[in-house]
Amino acid sequence: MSSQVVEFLPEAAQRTLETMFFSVPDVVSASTRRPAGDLIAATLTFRGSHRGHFGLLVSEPLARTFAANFFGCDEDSEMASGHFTGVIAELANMICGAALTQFDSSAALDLAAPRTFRLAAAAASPDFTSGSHSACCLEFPEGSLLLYLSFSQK
Amino acid sequence: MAFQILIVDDSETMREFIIRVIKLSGFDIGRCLQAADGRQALEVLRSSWVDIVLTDVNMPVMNGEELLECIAADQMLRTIPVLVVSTDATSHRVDRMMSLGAKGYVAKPFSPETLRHTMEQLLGVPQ
Repeated sequence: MSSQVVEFLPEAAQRTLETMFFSVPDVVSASTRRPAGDLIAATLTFRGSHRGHFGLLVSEPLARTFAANFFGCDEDSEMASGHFTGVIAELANMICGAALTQFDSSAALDLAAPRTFRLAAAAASPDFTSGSHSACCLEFPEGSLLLYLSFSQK
Repeated sequence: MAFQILIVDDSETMREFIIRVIKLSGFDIGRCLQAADGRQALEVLRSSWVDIVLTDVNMPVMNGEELLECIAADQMLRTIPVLVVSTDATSHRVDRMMSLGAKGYVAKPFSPETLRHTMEQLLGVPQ
């Protein structure tokens, strides 16, 4: 199953970033290398026809750029700085939903609310990789965005 | 003619984004009301003039399906077009929401042009 969805994850991510965050990555790869520096993490579970979880790690400067682009304001503005974890939660929700819809458009799908948290550079990475998984990395000048999509056995 | 819009979403971030996108698209927006769930949306609809409702599906307290059922059951509200804006674009979900009375469905991610075009269609604005 993960081999089928692996092709949809980067496509869904790029479409979401381009359409709603006005951001185009320089490089897209299957790398699972953790982004450098302080990070924002987001995770959510899904159930229905398919069960599993989605996770992302994003460099904090890149998260701020996404938030600024999402709201059409400066990165230092109150809107961008006050809502940037909320923006990353929306990003997780949209990429996961788009990838799963593309993977199986006739499925019944129930996405839980995303949970976001900050990760200091020295902190251990959360375990997004349990179970079968697809991963991709999108690199930007401000940092990188690492995505995981895992399916649970029913 | 400026249209009064109600945006229903439990995410303030997404409500603010949708307002931005509508403005960016050039849609003739008047007053833009907001609600964080279906129950709040019904309170707004019963106290304010609204031309079109944009609603999410998954929300606490009262979700998008329940909101559609309440609107369809209310003679005063059932003529207001409801557009679902959701991450879930599976045919299962789209069919379900349309069967409950939604007049349109826009899947995230969406472009400003897609949102504007769909809203204008539902409001009968000449394209």
